[in-house]
Amino acid sequence: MNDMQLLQCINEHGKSVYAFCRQLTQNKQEAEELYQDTFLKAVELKGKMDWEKNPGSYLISIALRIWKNKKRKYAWRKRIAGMEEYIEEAAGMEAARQEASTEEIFFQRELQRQVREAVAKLDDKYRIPVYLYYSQQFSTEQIGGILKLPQGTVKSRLHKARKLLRKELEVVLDEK
Amino acid sequence: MKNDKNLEQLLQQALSPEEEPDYWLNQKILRKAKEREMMNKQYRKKMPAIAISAAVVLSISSLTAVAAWKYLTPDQVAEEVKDQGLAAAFQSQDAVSIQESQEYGNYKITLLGVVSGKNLSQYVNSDDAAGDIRDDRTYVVTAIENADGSPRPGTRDDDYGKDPFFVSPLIKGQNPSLYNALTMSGGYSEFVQDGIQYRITETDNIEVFADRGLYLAVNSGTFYDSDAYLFEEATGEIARNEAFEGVNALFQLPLDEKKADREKADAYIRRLEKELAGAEDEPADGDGVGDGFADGNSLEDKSGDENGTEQNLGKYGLLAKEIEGWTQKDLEQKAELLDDLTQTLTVDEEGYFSYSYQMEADGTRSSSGTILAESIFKEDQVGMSESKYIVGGGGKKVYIETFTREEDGTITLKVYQYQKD
Repeated sequence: MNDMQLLQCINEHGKSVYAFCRQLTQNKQEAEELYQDTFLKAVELKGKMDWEKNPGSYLISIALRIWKNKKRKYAWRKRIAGMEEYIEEAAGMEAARQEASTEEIFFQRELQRQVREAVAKLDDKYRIPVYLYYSQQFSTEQIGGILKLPQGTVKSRLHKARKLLRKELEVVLDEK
Repeated sequence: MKNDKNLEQLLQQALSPEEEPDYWLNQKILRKAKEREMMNKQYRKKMPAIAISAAVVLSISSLTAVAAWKYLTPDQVAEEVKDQGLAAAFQSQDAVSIQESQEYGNYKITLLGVVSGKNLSQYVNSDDAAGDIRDDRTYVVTAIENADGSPRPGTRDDDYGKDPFFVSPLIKGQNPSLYNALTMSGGYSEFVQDGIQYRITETDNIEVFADRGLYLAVNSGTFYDSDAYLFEEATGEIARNEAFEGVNALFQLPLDEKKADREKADAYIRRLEKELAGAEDEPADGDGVGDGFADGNSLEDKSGDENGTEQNLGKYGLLAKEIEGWTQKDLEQKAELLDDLTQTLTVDEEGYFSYSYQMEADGTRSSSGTILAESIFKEDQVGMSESKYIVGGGGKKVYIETFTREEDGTITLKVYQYQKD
């Protein structure tokens, strides 16, 4: 991949890869590092990256792999702190948006914030398939490829994740 | 049920990507990738500022002598990036010296010179995906200055790269959005000296188009900006968009019309068209190989549109699809194992393994790669991976790379040669 191809790849996939990095790390600084490392690793993998055909899932696989490696190095305390920071930050962003919003949009945004928070609290084995399915819009088969899991396992994890989320969000869902 | 539907909707809305990566973060990645590439090639993009030599060779053009004293000549620019081969080419009779400046906003862009030919640079430019050596190239030297006379940031300054430029030759008659340095295997090296940013931009040799008319575009941004220029399809003319806010310099590139070659030019366009269409077909001049990765992931049609996928896969893609399901037995029956190329590979601490080999003894075709073992093997899988790499080998010949995980954790690379009837 030459630098111009890399640029094209960033232009096309940067946003979704970045979103995934933010969701995985729940921390802006770590997300930026992960995002950067993901593309640099992709460059290192050179011609073996099938970027012209389906680089999206490939980049996500790289991000996931790097994150798994790095995660072990972070103390759990730091991760908790990071998550709080992310949630606060997200809340801050919502607050900023809300200024110009109607009441309805305000509640909608608040709902979305609560959903994001609930997903972020899920165990990784449920959280990651949820991100890949709802945020990255991958099929369960693709997710199976990325996570090296049988498609059936992905489906059952998504099912369990929804169940957990329904419980967590019971009140807001009923209100809606 | 209502709650289920609500939850689905909410998850989709709440988790859809909203934030975008910061522009400077992307710039940093591009810079780092470039730096790493240069380090690997023993070639520096970034040059430390060195005091200018007292003996500056003046441009041969007397008309622009006043301006000429302040710029390095193209051969000096090449020397600064330690490319003696290219410096010699810029001193040769084939080189075209130009001293033309255009000013837009706070930037003054000067086109200094151009030279084309085979094996001019001592640095090899290869197409990473295919491993081809691209030796027939055009090199254009430009200088970018701040119009107010303030120095451009040096390559070590934090501000370096914050106001990027895209420099590209354009071909009259060809849509510049599709035919620019990006598609013409472009690259550049750059340094800042005495506050002037010098850049050598290289692409595939465009001399063959000399009779059609060639331009050099310099626009603000890291990519070709289709808002910066107007393309008149009927006449093929490319012009500056006067309404564009930003730099959109456009020079005529005066290449020697005698070097034009309609046949080669058409063949080149056909090749680019194929590449742009995603059909990684064998190029007309025989160089360049397509490669494909045969596994479920890469061939999967995200949209679910089967026909679209078929059309977009191209020759190698279709072949990859065919080979995808082959077992080891199929491979042994249908393809020829190249015993000499079998290698035992070790997985490193981070889970990657690397390999490289030459298919042809003369080194004209080679393949290399670094692969994350986890990406092609299931957990604790022993045996051959379902993922195979396909490397184009000229004509209807392809090479198939297979990877087998042994009991001891090592990976065996086997290369098969397959000729489609």
